[in-house]
Amino acid sequence: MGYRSLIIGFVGAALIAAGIFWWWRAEAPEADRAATDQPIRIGVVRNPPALDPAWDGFRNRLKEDGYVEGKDIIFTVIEVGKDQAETKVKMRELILSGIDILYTMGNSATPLAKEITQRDRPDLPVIFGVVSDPVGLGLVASLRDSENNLTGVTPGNQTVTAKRLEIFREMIPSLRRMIFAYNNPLSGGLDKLRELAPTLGVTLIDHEVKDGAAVEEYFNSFEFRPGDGILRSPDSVNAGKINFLVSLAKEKKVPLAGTNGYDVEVGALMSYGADYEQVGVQAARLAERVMAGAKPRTLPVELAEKYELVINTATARVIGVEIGREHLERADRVINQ
Amino acid sequence: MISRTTPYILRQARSHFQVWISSRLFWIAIVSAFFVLTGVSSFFIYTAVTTVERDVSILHLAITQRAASRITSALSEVRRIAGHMVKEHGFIAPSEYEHHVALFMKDNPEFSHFSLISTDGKEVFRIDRLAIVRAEDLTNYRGNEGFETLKRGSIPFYVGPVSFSDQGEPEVVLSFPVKSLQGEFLGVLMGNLNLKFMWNLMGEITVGSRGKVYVVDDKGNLIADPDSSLVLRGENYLHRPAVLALVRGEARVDGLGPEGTYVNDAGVTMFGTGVRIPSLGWSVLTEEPVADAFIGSRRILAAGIVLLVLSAFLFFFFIILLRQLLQLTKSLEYERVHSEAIVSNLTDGIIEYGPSRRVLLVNPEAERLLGVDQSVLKGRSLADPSLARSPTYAGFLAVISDAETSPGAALAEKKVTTEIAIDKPRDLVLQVTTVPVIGFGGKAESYLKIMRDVTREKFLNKVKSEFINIAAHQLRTPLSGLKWTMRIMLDGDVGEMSAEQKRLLARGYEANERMIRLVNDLLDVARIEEGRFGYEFAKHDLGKIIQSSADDLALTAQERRITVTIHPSRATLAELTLDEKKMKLVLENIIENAIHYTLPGGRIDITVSPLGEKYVEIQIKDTGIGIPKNHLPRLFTKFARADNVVRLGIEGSGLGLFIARNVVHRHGGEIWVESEEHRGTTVHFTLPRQEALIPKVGPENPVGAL
Repeated sequence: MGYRSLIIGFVGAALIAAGIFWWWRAEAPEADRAATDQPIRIGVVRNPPALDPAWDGFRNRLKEDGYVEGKDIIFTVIEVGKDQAETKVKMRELILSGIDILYTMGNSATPLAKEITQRDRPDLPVIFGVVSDPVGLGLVASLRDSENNLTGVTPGNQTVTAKRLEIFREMIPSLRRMIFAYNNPLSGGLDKLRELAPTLGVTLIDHEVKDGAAVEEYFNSFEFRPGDGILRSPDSVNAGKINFLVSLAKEKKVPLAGTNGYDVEVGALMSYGADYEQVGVQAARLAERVMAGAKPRTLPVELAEKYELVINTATARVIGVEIGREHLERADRVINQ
Repeated sequence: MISRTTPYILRQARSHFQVWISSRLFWIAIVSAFFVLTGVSSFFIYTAVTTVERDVSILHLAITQRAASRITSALSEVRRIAGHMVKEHGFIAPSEYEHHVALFMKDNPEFSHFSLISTDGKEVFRIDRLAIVRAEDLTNYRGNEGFETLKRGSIPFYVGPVSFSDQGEPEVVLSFPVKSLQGEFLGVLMGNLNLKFMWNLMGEITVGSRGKVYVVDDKGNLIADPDSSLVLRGENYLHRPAVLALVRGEARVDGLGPEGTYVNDAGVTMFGTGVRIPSLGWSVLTEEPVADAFIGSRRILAAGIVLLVLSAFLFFFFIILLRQLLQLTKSLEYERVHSEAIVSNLTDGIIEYGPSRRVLLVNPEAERLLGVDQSVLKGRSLADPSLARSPTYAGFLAVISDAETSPGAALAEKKVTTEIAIDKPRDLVLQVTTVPVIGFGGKAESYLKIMRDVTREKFLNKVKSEFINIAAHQLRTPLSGLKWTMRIMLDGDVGEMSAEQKRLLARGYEANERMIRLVNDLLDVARIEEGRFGYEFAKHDLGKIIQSSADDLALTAQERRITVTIHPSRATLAELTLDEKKMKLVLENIIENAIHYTLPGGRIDITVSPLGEKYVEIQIKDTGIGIPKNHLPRLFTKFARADNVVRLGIEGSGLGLFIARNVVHRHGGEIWVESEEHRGTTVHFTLPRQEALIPKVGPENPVGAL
């Protein structure tokens, strides 16, 4: 054997060794390799102030999970406009700006998001939070499979609104009439309310409102009488008018039931419903899975994980009602300011 | 000098090395060694890999067991709290339970609704976390397995099968008996436990970077997973071998069997272990991509294969080198034996000694010549004083020079030949040549003394010289008498002769002259060979000697119509130290040859020129008949005469150049000839310009005498 054969043998052995090394690297877990991903751009459509807890929960959860704003993720935030047309223009601009994920809150922004993305960017994942009855609203085909680019978290208000009324009625047995100004009959569970209210001994006075101005107009012209209560409808229009409703309720000394803890924090008498901050946390979890490569339609719509009863005793004093001890005991939070 | 070169490998040679290398046994041993090496390496690699894989399995099983413990602990805690509520409120009327249950549900959000069942199976109330429950919604639980079991009082609680809500969330019914303080059965408290709380529990357990822990029920339905979407989608994993094995009743799956590996929906091959929770019928499984889980064993395997491949290569490389080494050893061994045989059979005596003066070799001929024994001398130093004390080594020491027996003195740097006469063990004349053996580094590795017995040759030469000397002396006297007699007759001192008589006598006179010159040449040769040529060095003008020599031959040249021209040196040459008579003899011999071997009308040019600062070069160039090329090598030997000269009938003894060369060498010069047949001949010789370059003593044995 000459030197040439030796060199060929050595080169052959080295090539085999290199091949095995390559195979070993190819089999190595991805964690061993440096990530070179670009920041994920997330468009956010806020619906202040009532739905902001869902935004806070969303952002905080991503932060807790190690996503650094400006480095790993970049938020581009807009707010819903005064009307649908304005919101649509702003949202279309956001969707076409090159974002990777869209996070919407409320049943005002989310249908618009579906409409725009399915026309302009059908592959853009849309995560929604605080949208009740997404199936009834036509946002998703079913809770298990949206069959489109949407998924999200629902507080289930189409069901819970009746439960809220039940607790409200038990807490204030003097209630005889319940005023319910709704913008979206589906998200508010209007049919179920109409069915169950009589069984609870109250008369439901429901009225459809087109926008925030209509809400003010309706309640300013409404003639309240003893035994009346206001059940805030779970929709974006009423969410935007929570401060107005709280002022009105205090002024007229009418018990007001909100949809979530935030309503009570700003002055509603009580609320029973999903914790919107927790809804935001769940939505963030879904967004993380989308960032990991999952398609929205493979992520079932989730029901809110946490429901809470919140009572504001300060408001009770203002409007002159007394909350029984057994209800205070059952409350998850009691606010006294 | 002798230089070492690459040993000549005698391929035909047979030695025991070669026989061994080419034997079948050798190759069987090599192949066996290779398989043993490969087998042992493979065994260690296999052992290491299986050990690591077993450790991975143990680790994963530990994680799985921990997850199972957390689930059972969590459920036990829920049961404990729920059971505590029942015991605490067991004595009150069932209708009073509602408030307490509501408070319990506030603190335990895992429960989606609670029901109180009376002894006859009627649902007394139901508290639902999200929905209103009307009277018509209440149902009857008579015949319900949980209710009936608890009513019989056989178990303290009952866990129902897993069911899924409209949203796809897994739930399980926990039932507890409600009893009075006296132990009377009052009914059953039934709670729907939402298993979502287990999702977070599973999410808190880390299994590498891509692994996870999940839980399936007794039908293989996924009920807990860090990815809640999978649960909500209603995934069923009964198609996974590990899940199937556990559902069918295996207590655990360690992952090392065929059921431990499966391909998930994403196409990734997963390694799965699992344990069954017998009390619930659920199974907890841990999965991780095989590439991640067995990265350690993969790396060991890769490194092992790399090392095995390289080891195999190095093994074969080693075998090849070993084979070449053995072949080389065999060749060297053969060469050693071969060389020893040659050295032993040489007719010349050889002594080899190293730079340290230790004797390395004394061949048999040297032993014979010097009367010594190699076994005694080998390894001894030439400077060993005991050698000088023993008469046995007198002959040996005679051929060793003083420098060689004196430590620290310089040893010969080039070949030197001398003649040394020794009287022990007998009278011999040895021609001793000392040769340094130059190694690869250009330094002398050893020295050889090559001895040749020239005693008989010296004796024959001496006899021959004595014969010539005596013969010449005996011839010279009558020749001289004959010369003078014919001279007197030619001069007419004894009377006038006829012209014819005079012509004949003149031819006889010339023949006698040639005879006298021949005898003189023979006498010179004899003196040279006997070393008694008798040089008398003194300062002389070389130009005058050349001129005088040319003048002496001018008549002869003129008769043959040959022009002789002397070209004096352009540079001024100082007087040289030389023997005038001997130098004139040299010049006359060369010039006379040139005249004799040049046809009439030719020319001879004599040139003198300095050759550097140390020598003078004299050229005698003729336009003569030239010397055949095959005759040039023996031109300076005695009686050398070229064929063409003999054919032309030109007279000459063939001793002139022999004498000339010996004289030039004795002056420290050199002589050589350039010639081309029919074109002419140029004789060159040099003389030193400095007296120091003249050898102190002439060579004892004249060059070309042998």
